[in-house]
Amino acid sequence: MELLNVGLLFKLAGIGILIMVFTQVLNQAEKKEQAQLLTLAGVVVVMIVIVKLIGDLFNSVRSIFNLY
Amino acid sequence: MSIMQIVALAVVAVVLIVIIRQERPELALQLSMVAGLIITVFVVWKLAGIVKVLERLALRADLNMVFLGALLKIIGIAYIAEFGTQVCRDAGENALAIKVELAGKVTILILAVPIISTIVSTVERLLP
Repeated sequence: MELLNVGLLFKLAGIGILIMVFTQVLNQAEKKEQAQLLTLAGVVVVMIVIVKLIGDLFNSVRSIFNLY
Repeated sequence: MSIMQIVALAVVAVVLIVIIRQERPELALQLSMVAGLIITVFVVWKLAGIVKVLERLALRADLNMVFLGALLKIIGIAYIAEFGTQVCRDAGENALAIKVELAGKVTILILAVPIISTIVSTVERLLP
């Protein structure tokens, strides 16, 4: 269970670093709006993964502590 | 096995977060949330066994299951409220963190009311 998620963490870190680099490049190329759009896209992608993980956490807590 | 993996995961995640925080603080926050979620899900699954042992002990001591159920619910609510509060504090939103904590406390209080009333009625019966 642990190994699957470590890969996920590295994937998201990769996305973050890539976006960091691309926004720098875009800023140098005088394309500020596209840099901001790219950052927004990155945030949305990571947020999708986070919502899924939060869903998993809440379902497991609900099933274990029979919270309804 | 698991504690070493968890510590290794946390250390690696922290390093990655510090790298990303310089340029994109919002992504760093999300990354720290993901790392926290991974560890919490892993730990909560370990708790399942402990909860089963508690239930078996309660059955053997023929305790009223309502109390144990309420107790487990309170612990579950505490975990989730704590998670939300810490995420808000990480992002620097202390006001929001306090509101989430307040909501958690009120929810727990609502669950604790039947237990309190039972205790009070028991004490009344004991007194002459």
